[in-house]
This record gives sequence, C-alpha cells and structure tokens, in this order.
Amino acid sequence: MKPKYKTLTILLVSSIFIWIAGAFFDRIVFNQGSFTNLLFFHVPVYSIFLRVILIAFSTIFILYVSQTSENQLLKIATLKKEQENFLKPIRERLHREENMVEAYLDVVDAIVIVLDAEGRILLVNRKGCEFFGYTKNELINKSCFDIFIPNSMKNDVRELFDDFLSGRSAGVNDFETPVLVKNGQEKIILWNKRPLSNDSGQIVNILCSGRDVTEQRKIEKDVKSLASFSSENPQPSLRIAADGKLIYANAASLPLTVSWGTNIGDYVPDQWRHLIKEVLSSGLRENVEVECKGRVYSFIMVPLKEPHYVNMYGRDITEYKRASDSLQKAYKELKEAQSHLIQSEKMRVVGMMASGVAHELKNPLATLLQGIEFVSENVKNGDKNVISILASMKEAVTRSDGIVRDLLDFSRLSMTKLHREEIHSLIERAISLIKPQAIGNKIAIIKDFGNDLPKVNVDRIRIEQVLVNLFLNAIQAMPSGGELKISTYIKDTPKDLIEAGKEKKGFVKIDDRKMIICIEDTGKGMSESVVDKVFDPFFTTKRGSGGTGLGLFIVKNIVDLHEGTIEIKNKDNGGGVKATIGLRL
Amino acid sequence: MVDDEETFAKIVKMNLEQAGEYEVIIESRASKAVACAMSINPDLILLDIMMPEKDGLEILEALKKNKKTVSIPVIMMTAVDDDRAKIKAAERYSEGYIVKPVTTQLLKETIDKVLTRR
Ligand SMILES: Nc1ncnc2c1ncn2[C@@H]1O[C@H](COP(=O)(O)OP(=O)(O)O)[C@@H](O)[C@H]1O
Ligand SMILES: [Mg+2]
Repeated sequence: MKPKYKTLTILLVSSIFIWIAGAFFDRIVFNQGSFTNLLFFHVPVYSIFLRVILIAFSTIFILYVSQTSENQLLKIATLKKEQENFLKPIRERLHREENMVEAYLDVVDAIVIVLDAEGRILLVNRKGCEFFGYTKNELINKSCFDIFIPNSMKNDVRELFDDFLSGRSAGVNDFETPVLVKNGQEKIILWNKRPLSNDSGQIVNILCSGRDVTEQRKIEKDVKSLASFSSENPQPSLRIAADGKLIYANAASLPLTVSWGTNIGDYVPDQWRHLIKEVLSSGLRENVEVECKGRVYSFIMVPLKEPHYVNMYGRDITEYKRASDSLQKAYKELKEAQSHLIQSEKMRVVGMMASGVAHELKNPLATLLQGIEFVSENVKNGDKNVISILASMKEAVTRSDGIVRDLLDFSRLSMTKLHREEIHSLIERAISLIKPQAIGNKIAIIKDFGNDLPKVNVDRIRIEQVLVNLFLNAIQAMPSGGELKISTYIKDTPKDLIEAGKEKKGFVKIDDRKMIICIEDTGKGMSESVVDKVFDPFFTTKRGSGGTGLGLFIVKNIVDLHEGTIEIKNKDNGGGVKATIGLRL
Repeated sequence: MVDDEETFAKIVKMNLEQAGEYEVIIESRASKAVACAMSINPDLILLDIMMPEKDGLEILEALKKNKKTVSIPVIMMTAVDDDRAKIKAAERYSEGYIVKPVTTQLLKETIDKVLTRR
C-alpha cells in the first residue's frame, strides 16, 4: 500500500476511535443520555467541540508523524539502494571468484579435497572425483575414512589425521597413504595438507592436495630392484670408465678389486687400463681370463660408446676350467691312443703290402741272380766289359734284395708285442750279432752300463733290430777302425723342470723318467744336409755299398711304436756320431 | 727240385750241374712232388713253399709222413722270408732253409753241408 493511503486510513481510524471514545467518556463520566444518542443524535456541543479538537490534534500529529516517517523511510530506502549498489559488484565478484575457484580446482591436475574436523569431505575437485570414481554428490559430506581409506590402514591414517588437527605434526606436510578407488583398486597418493583455521586459530578444516604416485612408486620399486640386480649378481661385474677409473664393482668382484688394490673411483692397474683403451677404441667385445686367489674368472668386456665406459661381466670358471682341463687331457690321451691305433693299423696294412710285394719280388730276383751267375760262369774269359756289366747286375740284384729284406723287416713292425725285458741282455745279444764285423773292421766295443737299471717294456726282437742297425751304421762309418761305445743310464726329469711343470700345469709329466741308451762312434760324422734326412726312407749315402736307406727309417718306426725318443747327431766335440734312444719306464 | 718257376729251376739246375757232381731233376707241379720223390728216391730235395697247386710246407709234411721218402733230406728254398715259416719248416724236419734270391755258392755250401751230415 502506498504511504499516502496508509496515512489516510490511520487518520480515519484514529478519528472514528476519538469520536467513539468521546461518546464513551460522556456516558460514563457525565451520564448525559444513552450511548447511541451520545454517539450519533444528541451530542453536547462541548463534546463536539472537544472531540473535533482532539481529532484535529491527532490528525495534525498523525500527519506530522507520517510525514517524518515517510521521510525516514525514503532515507532508508535510498540508503538501502546505495548499499545495494555498493554491494552488488562485490557480490558479483565474490560469486565469480567462487566459480573461478571451483573452475581452478577443477582444472588443477591434482586431487583437491577439503575435510572438516571429522574427516568429512566438504569439497572435492573434478580430478578427485575422477580419480576415486565417484560423483561429487556421492562424496560430499561423507567421511573420507569410510570411502577411500583401506581397512587395514584406517587406524594409522586416523591417527595421522588427529595429530594433524591438534597441530602436533605441524612440520610434516607431505605424507603417503594407500587409497581405495571405487572399482576396488588400491592406489598410492602423496598428500600435501594445509590447515584451515578459524579466527581463534583452531584448525577446523584441512585442505589436502594429492598426487597419484602409484605408477611412480612401482617404477621406483622396479628401478630399485633393477639397481640391485647387479649387486645381487653372484658373479663379478664391474664398470670401468674410459680413463681407467673404477666406476662400479659388485660384491662378487671383491676378490679381484682387492687383488688390484683398487677402490671405486681409483684407477685400475695399468694392464687393465690398456685393455680398456683397446676395447673402447676397437669397439669390439673382448674375452679375458683372470686368475685371482686360486679362482679363474672369465670376463667379457663390453665397450659402450655413450657414455664412454666398459662393462665387465665375469664368470667364475674355476670348476669348469678344472673339468675342461681334465677333459682336455683325457681327450688328448684318447687322441694319442687313437692316432697310435690308426698308426699301427696303417703299419699293419703297409706291412701286409710290403710283405706281399717283397715275396713277389724275391722270385724274379732269384731268377735274375741265378741267370747272371750262369752267364758269368760261361763268359769267364770273355769281354771285360761284359764281365763288369754282369758284376754290376749282380750288385743291383743284391741291393734290390736288401731293400726287399728291409721292407720285410718294416712289415713285421705291426706284430710288435711288448714285454718287460732286461735291457743289458738285449744289448749283449745285439753286440754278439755284429761282433764279427766289428772285429773285422778293428773296432773296439766299449760298454758303460748303468747299475741296477729297471726292466723296460719292449719288443725284444725289434729293439735288437734297432741296436743292430745303429751298430752297423757305426761300423760302416769307421772303415779303418775306431771305437763303438754303448752306454745306458736313467734320466730323471730335472727338478727345476718338475717345478716349472707344476706351475704351468701339465707341462712336464712327473713320471718323465727315461731309460737312455747311447751309441757313439768315432767315425767321420755326418754333414749338415745328412743330419736332417737320416730318418727318411731310402735316404742313404751308401748306395754303392749296399745301403738301402731304410735302416734308420725302420729304427725310428720301432722307437715310435715304443713311444720312445731317438736322436742322431754329431758328437759335441766332433769326430763321430751319437745316437740316443730314450725308452719309457 | 720242386719249384713252379720253371725258368728259375732250369737255371739253378744248369748252375749246380756246372758247379759240381750234381744231377738235378725238376718237378714243377707241386701236386706231383711226393709221387716224383717216391719214384726217383733222390739224395736231397730242394722244395719251394709258395706254389699255386700245393703249399711246400704241406708237401714237406707228406714227405716226412711217407715211409719211402721220410729219410730224404729236404732243404726249403723259397721267397718266403718269415720266421713263422722257418719255424714250421724246422718243426717238420726240414734240414735247411734258404731264402731266395740265393747265390749258387751259398746253395752249393748248404747242399754239401746237409749231404755230408748224412
Ligand atoms: N754312425 C753314422 N755315422 C755317419 N753317418 C751315419 C751314421 N748313421 C747313419 N748315417 C747316415 O745316415 C744315412 C742313413 O742311414 P740308414 O737309414 O741306416 O741307411 P743306410 O745305412 O742303408 O745308408 C746313412 O746313409 C749315413 O749317411
Ligand atoms: Mg744302415
């Protein structure tokens, strides 16, 4: 209602009220008639007068009051309006800012949650909703403990929360908790919390911003476990920089680094630095074997260009080495036995061939010899040339027969059988076979036999054959007499060689003891060109005098069959040849 | 003389007969050797070993088992230069063993040695 009508209404009502009150007053105080008469018909003049004055006064009063209130109201209204005008932009800004904050919070790539003192969620941003898989409405005013703290962690987190509220953990702003998202997955969040206090400084709300670090923690865990991968390696592995500084060495490398006297950050020994340089410059992997404190390691050195260093991956191959050494030894022995077998099988075949050929040759040779003899007998007084040719022919037949005989000797090598024999009786027998020739050539035989020599494992006939061959060569080398010296002794492996052998492992067999038979003559010796060829089959400097060149070839073969050694060379002081046979004991 | 190599045998015969008081009769078929020896009854037999029809060592055995020929001395004259053959021949009572080729000189000496031992 407009204030004007309002005032008029008040005026009317107050006038009516004054009139009625006057009537009532006249009836009670002056008792001048009935109430109705006093109200309408018989109103005394003084009363009318009084009533009108009263009404006039009230009207004046009311009008005055209404006038002033109207002014006041107007004033208030303008004030209100002014206030409204002043507050409006502020309100709008506030509203805008509120929206902005929410928008800001929504675009922040972190979970933002505001909790009250009970742990109820007052605010959550979009990221938070997305992360937990709930809508805003599902989260607001719910207890965070109920919604996303796993049961097993509830007490711990609650404690943390209370500590924080009470301000006890003021310094600690970051903490990590596992949380459950809607689909039941467990994640890890790194929280940063900020207290929100009221005016009296009491912490009432907590602002938390969180980051999902599940993947990061997992990666970190993987990285950590990967980093420990090398240190967990029971085999040595090292990394050395291009300048030779040891960058890394795992625990298993300790024996090596200790023997180097190198700590991490120190330079490795010179020979290794050279190797590192070589490997890096070639860019090729290199395998090296290292012996250290009784163990053997095999290292593969892997050069890496960017950054510049070499990784060394080792393997303890001590046992393997030991096994492979003995395997290799066994293999070598087997191989030797096999080649021996092949050799003797070859010898058997060659022997069979030789004996067949020999027998086939002997018959025509026999006919030739008989024929030559017959012709010679019947041209006794004939042409001198004829006679000399016949003589040459007879010699040729004899030589051919010699070769055939040697071939047969050779063929018999396949039947070698070893027995334990007393070497000196063997030598004596061989001497008895050549004694007539020795005496005939004025050759003295000197014996220098060792005492108490052990028996040797030999084929008696073959060794006799060897000795006879050597004796005959010696005798043939001394046409105008001389000395034939035969000596025997045991040759021990020298001590220093045994020691060296122990160090080099398998270099010298400890059982390398030998029976030595030495045959020396005082003949003309051999020229350089002869020395190298004496063992060649059919090599002879005595072709004219029945030499076949098979003697020493057969000797060598027999000695080989005995796994012995033979050496024929000019004596150190000159003047003759020395043949040395070594037989295994 | 029992030898399948006829040329050889003929030359040996000529050489021996030229060299001394010998008469050599040749039997070149090994299978006929024993029969020949029985019919001729020679003073000595020169016996080859490797012959196509029969092995000389077998003939030697047959000769030594035969009453009529057992006392005839046998000298093996052969190209076989083999210890086992030599031992076999000795076991079967041969009186000598000559390895071909052989000079008439050595042959003559061996024959004379055996004959004078008789
Ligand atoms: N004691 C020695 N003195 C000098 N030369 C020797 C001696 N032994 C061997 N030779 C040389 O070695 C060669 C080969 O010897 P060998 O094989 O026995 O054949 P051959 O004796 O038939 O010639 C001989 O021809 C000779 O030149
Ligand atoms: Mg010789």
